[in-house]
Amino acid sequence: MAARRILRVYTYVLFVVMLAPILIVLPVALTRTNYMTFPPEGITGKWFLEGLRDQILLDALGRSLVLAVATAVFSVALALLASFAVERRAFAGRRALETFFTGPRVIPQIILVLGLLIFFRSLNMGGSFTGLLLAHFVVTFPFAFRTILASVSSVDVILEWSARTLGANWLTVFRRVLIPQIKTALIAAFMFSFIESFNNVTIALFLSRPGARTLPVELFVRLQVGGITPSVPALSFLLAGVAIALFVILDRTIGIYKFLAGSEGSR
Amino acid sequence: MERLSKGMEALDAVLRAAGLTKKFGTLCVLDDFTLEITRGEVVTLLGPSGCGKTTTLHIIAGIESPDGGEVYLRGENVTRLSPQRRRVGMVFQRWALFPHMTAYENVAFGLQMRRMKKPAIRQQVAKMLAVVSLPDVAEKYPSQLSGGMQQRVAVARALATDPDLLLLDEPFSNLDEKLRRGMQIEMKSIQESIGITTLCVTHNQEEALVLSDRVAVMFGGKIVQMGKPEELYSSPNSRFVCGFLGDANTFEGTIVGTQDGKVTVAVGAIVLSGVCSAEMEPGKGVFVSVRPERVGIVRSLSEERSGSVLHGHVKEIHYKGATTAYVIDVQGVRFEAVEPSGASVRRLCKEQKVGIEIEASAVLVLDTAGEGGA
Amino acid sequence: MERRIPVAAMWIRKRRWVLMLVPGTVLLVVFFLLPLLTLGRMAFYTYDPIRLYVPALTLENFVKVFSDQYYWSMITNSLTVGFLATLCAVFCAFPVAYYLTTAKGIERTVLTAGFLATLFITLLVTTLGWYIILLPFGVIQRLFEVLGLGSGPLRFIKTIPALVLVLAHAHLPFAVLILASSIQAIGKDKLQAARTLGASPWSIFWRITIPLTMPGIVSSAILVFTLSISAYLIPVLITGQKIPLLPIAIWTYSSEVLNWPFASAIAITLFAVTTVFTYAMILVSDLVTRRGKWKVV
Repeated sequence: MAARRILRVYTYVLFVVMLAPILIVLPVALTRTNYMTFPPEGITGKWFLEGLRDQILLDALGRSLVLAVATAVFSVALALLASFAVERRAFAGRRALETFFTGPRVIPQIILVLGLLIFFRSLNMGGSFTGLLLAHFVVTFPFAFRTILASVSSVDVILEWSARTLGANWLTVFRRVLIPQIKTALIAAFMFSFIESFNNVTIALFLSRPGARTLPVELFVRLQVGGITPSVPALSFLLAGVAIALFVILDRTIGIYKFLAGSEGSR
Repeated sequence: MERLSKGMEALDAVLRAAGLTKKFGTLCVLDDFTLEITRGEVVTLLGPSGCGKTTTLHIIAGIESPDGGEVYLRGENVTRLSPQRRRVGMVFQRWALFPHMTAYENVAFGLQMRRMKKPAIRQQVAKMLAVVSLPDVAEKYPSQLSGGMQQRVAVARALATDPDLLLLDEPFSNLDEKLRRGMQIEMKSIQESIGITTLCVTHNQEEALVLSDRVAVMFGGKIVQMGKPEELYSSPNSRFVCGFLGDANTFEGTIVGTQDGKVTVAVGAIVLSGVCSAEMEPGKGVFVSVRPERVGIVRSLSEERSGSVLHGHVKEIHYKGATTAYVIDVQGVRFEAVEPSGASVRRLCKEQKVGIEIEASAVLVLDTAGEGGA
Repeated sequence: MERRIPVAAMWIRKRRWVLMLVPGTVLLVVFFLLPLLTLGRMAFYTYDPIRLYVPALTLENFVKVFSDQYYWSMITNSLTVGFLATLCAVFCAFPVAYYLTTAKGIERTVLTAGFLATLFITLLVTTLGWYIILLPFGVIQRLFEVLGLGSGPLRFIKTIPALVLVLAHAHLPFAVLILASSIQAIGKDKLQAARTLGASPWSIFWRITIPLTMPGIVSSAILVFTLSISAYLIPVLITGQKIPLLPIAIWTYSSEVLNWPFASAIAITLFAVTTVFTYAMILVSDLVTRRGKWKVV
């Protein structure tokens, strides 16, 4: 059908448009000049090395990674407990609690982070790592919760009962029957929390100290200030590459597409 | 437009499918499928899942196109015609009612597509809902209707546009047992009152026998046997058809002798007289089938009748309510015999000595080689 | 001593469900609910240049927001940008989502990866990319020069259309996701049934596909709208301070001017505007599709 062909062409054109901003960063990062220009004048890979040698950027990267891992662990652990409790035990107000748990996703991040800023300052926690961690936890928890809850709901409670009749206490049941069943959801929740935290700019911007910035914030500040060398696009491109590779790996191993459907993101 | 060369039959043949072929990758789903249906007939395609029956329906409706072959509706070659221009009505397996439209709107949809005027639509919809015995559900949404009601709305929707041919894709498989039987009977009466030519597809053999004027058993993309339900049941042409329709005692045997159409066949230690349509020679390996209800149980083993009676004893008893089935061991060969469990008939006991008597016409002898032809 | 331990264990066992819920709930209450309440309260306090704020209740912040022309323009700008970005994203995403549901195998994987990959990448990178493309000396400029379509620096960046474009791009994946699952949920057989009933592809689209995907359309519209109207990073990088927008004002007043009460008032206004328009969208769509009366069967 002709209509289908038009649709296909349209989709592919949009496909290119979607990836264009990411791809354009590469040629700019290859220029010999020490300012960003397009088309690049000369080809060199030195800015990639420059970017990787920049101590401040490396510190920021380390900080981002630690924060992201901590956030993910925290989110997944608590989301696991919460979803298990919500699923296995019907109680009044269950729906309300579930809605409450997804609340942080409904409120725009900029509003949330202003509230946190004021709240932390009053507790003298402004700019602290813990504060940042808690803030990231709050925004990643809803998604971890929903992902894990969906998986826990699909585990038939009969498996639990038969394990119990075979003599297992609930801790063993948890460890040896349930966790293996929801393994995929746990991985997905962990990865998404990690990525949310790592990529997050808005919250990190408001809540981090000038000396201790996360990587996206450091890049942002440099962009705003201006006069940046092509090491910024170089590093950006590397980040993008890693992210895409991660996406593809996750899709191949655990079918990440299924989990994305139903995610409400905010940056 | 291609016209059939035969005279009166051209007008009567509502559907003619000729040599339809369809492949999915290397899998051949339809292989030279040919079928003709005359006006007012109900034909059922019967076969296991995956034998190509739904594909056939889709090709006739126009939802899929065949790789080879042609489809003629009322003499017109519609093979390349889109579904919206063919005059077929189709009821899908899960009924496919539009959830955002009321029953009225669902039934009216096809009429709106034909640009009928509102008053005429209203009249026709009311008429169709009355035909399916649902005069009061017009304003209800599918989610508010029970399975049986949804199915009837789907039928009303398909019939509303007065199609030449009605296609039913396993329409009763989503209903529970009791409902299914009721709906089958109702469907039959609707079909008879309107006189619509119908092609039905199912894997449920009882459904096929109840609904149809003719049944076509399908396997591997082809029709392996076609005929009236009684013909298929009592004279299956192959082991597959035999096993697919109803229960049967099945054995492997060897031909002992033949004499004008009648054969004598050895099954284990027993010798039976039977009928066979194909050419047989002594020594040939064959397939023998006897319907359980044709295995006569002889309770009094007196001397006069012992000629055609085989002696054995009861091994198993299965009480099924209206009937009772017995498994009787006759010199090492096990026969299942079924008889009504009426009060007048004395129930047998295990290990009881009984005789069985089988008419020659009930013993079907089939060639083991092929699946048979149409 | 021997009897105490079992009692404690019993106590935990009996309440284990509640105990499992406690950590998450407590943390969310303290670090989600309380900050929001703090924000709400702060909006009614008075600004004090020395002590940052004084807990004296006043409405002057809100009065300022709604009476001053400058701040009204912020609200209208934000709304305009939000709406336009939503329209763009949802319109562009729908055909893609439709095509995705019909694609199979490798094609489907590649397309899905392409459209969703940007979700994994820091917003900063994609915005930087757009910056490069849209800059006065950027890609589009060069393209125009090459094609002979006039010279001189393009004033495309720092305009509302540029902002709408980048916002729509950033949020398109969300729309595609939601729409794709919505379209898939219709079920092929209903579309086939419509065809056998004589409907043209156009009729099928308007009378079957759109009504049945309306919940998904609304859902994605609400999401994109909320994200676009409250976006901070993208406007800052693409338009700088040139176009007054609510999220940028929030940053300015909270972290530069340090007028927390006013910043909070702006935040509350943003929240209110978003909520009002979200509910308006839901209401309109419910009316159009008679939602509440029917469910997908």
